[in-house]
Amino acid sequence: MVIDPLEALTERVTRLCESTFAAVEGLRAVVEPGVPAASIAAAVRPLLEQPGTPLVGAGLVLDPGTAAGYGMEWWHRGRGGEGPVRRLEPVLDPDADDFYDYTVLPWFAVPRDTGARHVTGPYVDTLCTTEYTLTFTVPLFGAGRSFAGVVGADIVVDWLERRLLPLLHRCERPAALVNAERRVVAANRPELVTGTVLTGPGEHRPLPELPLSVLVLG
Amino acid sequence: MRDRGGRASVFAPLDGGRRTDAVVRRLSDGIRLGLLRADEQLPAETELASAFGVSLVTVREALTALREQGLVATRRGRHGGSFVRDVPGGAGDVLRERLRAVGPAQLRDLADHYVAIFGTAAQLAADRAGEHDVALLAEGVAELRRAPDADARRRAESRFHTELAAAAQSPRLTREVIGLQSEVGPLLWLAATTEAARDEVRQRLEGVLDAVRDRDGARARAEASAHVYAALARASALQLVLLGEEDPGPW
Repeated sequence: MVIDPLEALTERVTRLCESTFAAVEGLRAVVEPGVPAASIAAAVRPLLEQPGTPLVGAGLVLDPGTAAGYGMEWWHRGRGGEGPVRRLEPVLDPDADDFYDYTVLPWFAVPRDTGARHVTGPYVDTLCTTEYTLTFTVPLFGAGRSFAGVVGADIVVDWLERRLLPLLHRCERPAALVNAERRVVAANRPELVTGTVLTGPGEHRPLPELPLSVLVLG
Repeated sequence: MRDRGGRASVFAPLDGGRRTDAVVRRLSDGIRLGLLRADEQLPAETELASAFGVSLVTVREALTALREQGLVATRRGRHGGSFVRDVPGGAGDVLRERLRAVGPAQLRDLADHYVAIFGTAAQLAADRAGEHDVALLAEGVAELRRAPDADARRRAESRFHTELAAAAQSPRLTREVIGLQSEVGPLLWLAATTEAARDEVRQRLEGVLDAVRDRDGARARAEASAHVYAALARASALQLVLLGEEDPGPW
């Protein structure tokens, strides 16, 4: 059987994203409903410490509208994903000068506004790892399906690129995995630089229920 | 023997002198610039060692020096550790002290280094920034407009620079900008002491933002470079006065 390389690519991306979301939903199941946010730590650590995992950070972020106010239980392995698992401690006091208001950031705002899961990025994560990152988040619901925050995980783009390049390489035409704003995640031509936005015409192959698509050019 | 292709640069003196001094300077600037607050607990010694990439011995030497300078206090016991002390004087003192320490050539070189990073970040951001990146940059400028004092202005400025490098989609440039901030920040941004200078800073950053919005990379780079060199000019003017006032010493 001859498998179309583009199809193999979309299938691989879908599978990698779905398994990341499965891990995130597993975390969500730990804290929903009515379980204290901090109890997520015991579930996050083994995920991040698992050998070969692409996850470099994970946790939950509370909606300030909840009783607990601003809150973050986020753990990460540091730059390069090599270091020990550490808790992120951003400034969450709204009156502080260097207050980190995450409610405006897309990995929080999109699941809040749409009620659906989201993939944010590729973007430079300036808070946690300063790596080029994709963040997978799902909404967390409290009593009566009220929005309580998001649960999520980070993977670094470099990890995903390495897994996609062999498949991209088999596509004869110029092709790129892009996000909703057509920003390149990985591509098979040097001129399709990772992180740039492609504006030219091309054939779009959207990935089911993901804000990502494979763009075939020329 | 003639130098073949920069061989001499390999054996040039290492940056920053002793590692202990570098750690002391970084923490003492952080404390006196208000980045670290009074009574805030510093990370554990092992965490500091791994963050700075130095040995535990170096961290301990640095903490001893900071204690002697009255910048940190060490408390014992279960909730013990090193805590930041309340330091009067603050940002103005740091600026004057650092301007005396670096000398005009080093100051210019620092500005050149920063222009290479920040100018490139601006140019790439104009090509690559998404709507969300632009919104964060605009918020940075708005924050600068609202900033009530020198500390708040310096924070807003530093945030704008980091967001600009992030908008360039470059982790390396972002890390360089963050890494250089502790050096560049006190020297270049604190010298905007007059209302006219602050207006100029704001207009420059607005110029960078507009160029990024217009997707004009060349203009973004030009605005960013002009901004850094204007800051250099202000700092140099202050530095020349400070150094000019110093006792020339015996011949």
